[in-house]
Amino acid sequence: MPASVHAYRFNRDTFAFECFDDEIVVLNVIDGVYYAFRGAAVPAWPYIIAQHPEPVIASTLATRYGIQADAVTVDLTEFIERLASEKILLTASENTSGIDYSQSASLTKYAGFIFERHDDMDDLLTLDPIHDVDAQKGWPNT
Amino acid sequence: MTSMLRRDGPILNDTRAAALRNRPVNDGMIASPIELVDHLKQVVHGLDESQASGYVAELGPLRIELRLHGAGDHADFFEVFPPVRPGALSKQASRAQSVDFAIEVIDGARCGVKRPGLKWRASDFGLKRIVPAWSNNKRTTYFLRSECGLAVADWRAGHAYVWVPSIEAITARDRAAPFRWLLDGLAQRHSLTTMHAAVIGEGGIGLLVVGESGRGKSTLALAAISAGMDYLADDYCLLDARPPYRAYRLFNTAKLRADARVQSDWIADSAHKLDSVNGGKQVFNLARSAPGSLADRLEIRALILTEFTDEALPVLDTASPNEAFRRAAPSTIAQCEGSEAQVTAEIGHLVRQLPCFRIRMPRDSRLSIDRMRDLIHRLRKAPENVS
Repeated sequence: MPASVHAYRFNRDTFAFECFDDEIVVLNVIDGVYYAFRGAAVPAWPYIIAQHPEPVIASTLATRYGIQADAVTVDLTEFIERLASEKILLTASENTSGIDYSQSASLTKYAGFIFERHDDMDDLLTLDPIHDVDAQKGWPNT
Repeated sequence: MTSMLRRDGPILNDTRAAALRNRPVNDGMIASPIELVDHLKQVVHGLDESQASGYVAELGPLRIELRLHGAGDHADFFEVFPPVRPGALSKQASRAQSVDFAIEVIDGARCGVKRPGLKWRASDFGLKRIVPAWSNNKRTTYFLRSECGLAVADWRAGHAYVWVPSIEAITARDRAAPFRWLLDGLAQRHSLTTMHAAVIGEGGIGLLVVGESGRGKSTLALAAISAGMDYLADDYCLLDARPPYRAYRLFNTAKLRADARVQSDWIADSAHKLDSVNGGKQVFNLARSAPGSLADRLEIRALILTEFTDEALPVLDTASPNEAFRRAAPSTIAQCEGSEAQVTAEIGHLVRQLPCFRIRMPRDSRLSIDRMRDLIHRLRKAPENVS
């Protein structure tokens, strides 16, 4: 499937995020795993969560960094696919609009999309599984 | 099933409620949170009052009445909470008018009360890994996986019921910070947040010490006690994330690893160790061991990110807001039983508004405490110039 027809939405049931000047931090609110995105991921993030088409985002970033859109497209597609593989993005049925695409060029050098995953909380949150209901006794069944 | 933004865990939406109603059920099985509330309320009314012990705790601006049914010999169970100040409860006002919330704890074995059979499934409680909870805006039902107990909070009535197989089933870790999952939901309904953080201070000014377990929060907090500074928390505190950013004490306890770097006479001499928790930690009730060090509230002026170093001297330098967020938010959010989106936004606000520092602590924690004292002094004199 061509990248241009992919549509995603941010998985608000499982993740929360905070935007800083040079970093996006995304938290899995269930297990405490967190992600740090830097580089071109920072200006791309508002467009991604607003469900804008990948070609539009790539074009916007190309303008910002003063480079060809083709140079951004491959990195952007790979970044979005990683977000989807981590369930940070879920497949959506339609796009939305409302962001101003007209950005002036920036002197910031393009350095690709930086994606980090941290699972420091695993020791804290590793617990026994929950047992499901017993038809005769009701829940919990242990 | 419709997708809804969660508050206090998965929302009990109409689709799920209908599915519950249609699920086959045995006689006597409870089918809804309100039925569970009514059932446990009736149970409590039928219990022998002479076998109950009571306590009123003051957690910052919140007053909580706690009653333990069937375990009068465990009357010290609630002493991990700060007691209400003497005279703070008006003689004219009824107790019900004077407290914000009441928690009834039922010792199932001693009271002869079996665990209620519930119609819903474990998966209905959502994916939270510590205390899965299941909510609508009126009630939250909790699964206490460590104790194999359950609880339900009726937020509008200001009442919660906790059923445990026995008081002994509550783990030492949970006895050091009881009902934290319940206090989460209560705090958010009062515009407060429970933070996974230590808090130390001096002269009313506090430092919020954040980070995942094992990075030195407790070490620094216990060293602060040894140095005569104020101690408010080593793990969990109540925070008002609006200026002037007040932190309140939730628990009187402190934990210490058996191989901890902190050495102190008050620890060595303490005869009030409560128990060991997982990981070889000892739990102290500081209301007995070091009562003079306990602070009820402190005004937070900075965030501290701790880590250990093998160097001889501590190094204190500034940390970026995003680094502080990455250290403060994940463990707080993962343990949050309230609105994670709200807590995320509050921590994001906090790290932008307050200066953040990283301290690399050597083995001798007294040197680190000197740096904390100096920082507090500078924050008091000219907070805007501290960097």
